[in-house]
Amino acid sequence: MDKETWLLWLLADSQLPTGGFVASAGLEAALQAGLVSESAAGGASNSLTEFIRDSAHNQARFALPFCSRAYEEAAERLSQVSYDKSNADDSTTTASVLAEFLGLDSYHHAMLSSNKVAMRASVAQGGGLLSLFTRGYALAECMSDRRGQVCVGVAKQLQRLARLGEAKAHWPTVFGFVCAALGVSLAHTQQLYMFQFVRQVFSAAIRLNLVGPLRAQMLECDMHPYVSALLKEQAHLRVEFSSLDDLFGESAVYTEPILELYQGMHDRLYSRIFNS
Amino acid sequence: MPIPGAGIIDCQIVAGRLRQSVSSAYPLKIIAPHAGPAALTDPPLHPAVSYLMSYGGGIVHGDRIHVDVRVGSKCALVLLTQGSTKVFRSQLSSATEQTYQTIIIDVEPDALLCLLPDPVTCFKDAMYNQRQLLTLHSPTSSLVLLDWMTSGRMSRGERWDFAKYFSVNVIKTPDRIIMRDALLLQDNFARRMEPIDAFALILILGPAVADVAQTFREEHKAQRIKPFRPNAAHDHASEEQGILWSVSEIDEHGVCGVAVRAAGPSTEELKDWIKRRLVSLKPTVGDCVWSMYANSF
Repeated sequence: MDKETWLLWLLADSQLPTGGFVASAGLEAALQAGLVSESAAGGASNSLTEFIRDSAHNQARFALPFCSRAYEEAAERLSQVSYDKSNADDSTTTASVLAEFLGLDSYHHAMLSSNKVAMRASVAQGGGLLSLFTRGYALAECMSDRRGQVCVGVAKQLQRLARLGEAKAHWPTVFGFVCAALGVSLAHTQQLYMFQFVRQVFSAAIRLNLVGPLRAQMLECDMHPYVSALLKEQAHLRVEFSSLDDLFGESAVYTEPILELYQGMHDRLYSRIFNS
Repeated sequence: MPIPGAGIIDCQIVAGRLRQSVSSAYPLKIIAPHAGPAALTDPPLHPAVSYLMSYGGGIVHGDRIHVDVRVGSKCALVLLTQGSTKVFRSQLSSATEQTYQTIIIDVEPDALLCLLPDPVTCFKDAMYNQRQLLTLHSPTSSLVLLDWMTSGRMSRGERWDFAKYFSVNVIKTPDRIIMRDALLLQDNFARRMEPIDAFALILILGPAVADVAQTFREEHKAQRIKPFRPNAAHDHASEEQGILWSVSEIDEHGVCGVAVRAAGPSTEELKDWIKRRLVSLKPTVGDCVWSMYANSF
């Protein structure tokens, strides 16, 4: 059995301890405010599946370009460590991987500055994954080689900066970095990113009583063609942010203004079980 | 030879008086009427107003509008339009031609910029790109930015019938990018936007407009959303005029304020909703400029 498959299944596990279970991706607010409706009838699954598809579309256009770029920037620099047989000091590579990450992360943060609820969720989950990496995977045998140790060094510095408030460690960028660190392929990273997003929203829907667990499995199973098509169309996107043209460009965009609006209502909910 | 569609607005206090200079080239037209005396705020801000207009009342495919704006210390510049910005594709436009409107604004320390246009209305098949970059030079710089749009020429049955709407707002300080809001409506968005006919993003940042931000904050806090029951009577004021809205707190590297998102089933209702809540701007920009804004609809 190849190592990558094993790692993918580990990362896809819904028990992955990153704190994702407190986030509903705006579903709770959408439900309470009437955008998504609750009913046993088959028709009601429509508003839920539409919500999940639209949110997934938004993730593909907004977050995935950051995840993919974070992956590539890290992987490219780390590959030099693997090939370099000399005893060169790896601190330059560590610094370089970290610097690239921080640039991407702070740009992602700027794109969430006007959406506090989503920002909170992203930072919480990114932080959770980063902790999982530094306190879990970092100690595994597969991270004990030189390349692995550079990754651990980057992650620890990032964690320190996050504690000082000098970095945020957002979910899509941390996800890209961790997958690159573990040696998962980019294509699988992107698929996993979308899969776990969809899975998270379904999981929230079950806990919100919008759908039963068995029906949710069926609906989630049927999401495959949509997500697959989404990846086919959008997986090539990489966020660009060096020039004014980039800032004015479409490499990372939001496509669901209504969902974003509803998500912003989350903190006004009279009673709620999710954090976001 | 002036660049078509290019314009400049500059506002400064010189020897204690407001000096505003504007220039524009066809198809853009900028006019700067008299704005009234200094506001009674402490410290006083000198109001100024400019209207951004297009010959023909709309922007046609292939047009590129580019406006550079500088708001000097102690100035409160309000940018308005005359009527909805209509974007349309002419029969002469090539298939790939799009429309671009770019506004680059520098807000100096102790200055206020209010960008309060009418909403953008894209006609059938239109492709519109709006880019706005605002630099707040100091934590004492303030901004009210209203970025909004409608579903189209509803009277003609055109709802969400345009080909592309892309609006980017980048807010930065001299050191860094604080915020980038980038909304793209392009593929299959009609179904998703179906429930509404007008959508607005309002950014309220900085000390000069702290009252306005507070108005939104308090209203946001006061209204709890209770679980929606389809047949029950609704008492949340989010149902007021059918407006859906949410407020997000902004606090990034010295830039503080709120971001408001609001959507409604009609442009009129959303206009009223917004106007009612921006009224605390009146003492800051003065009666004269406020009435220009308030009466422009």
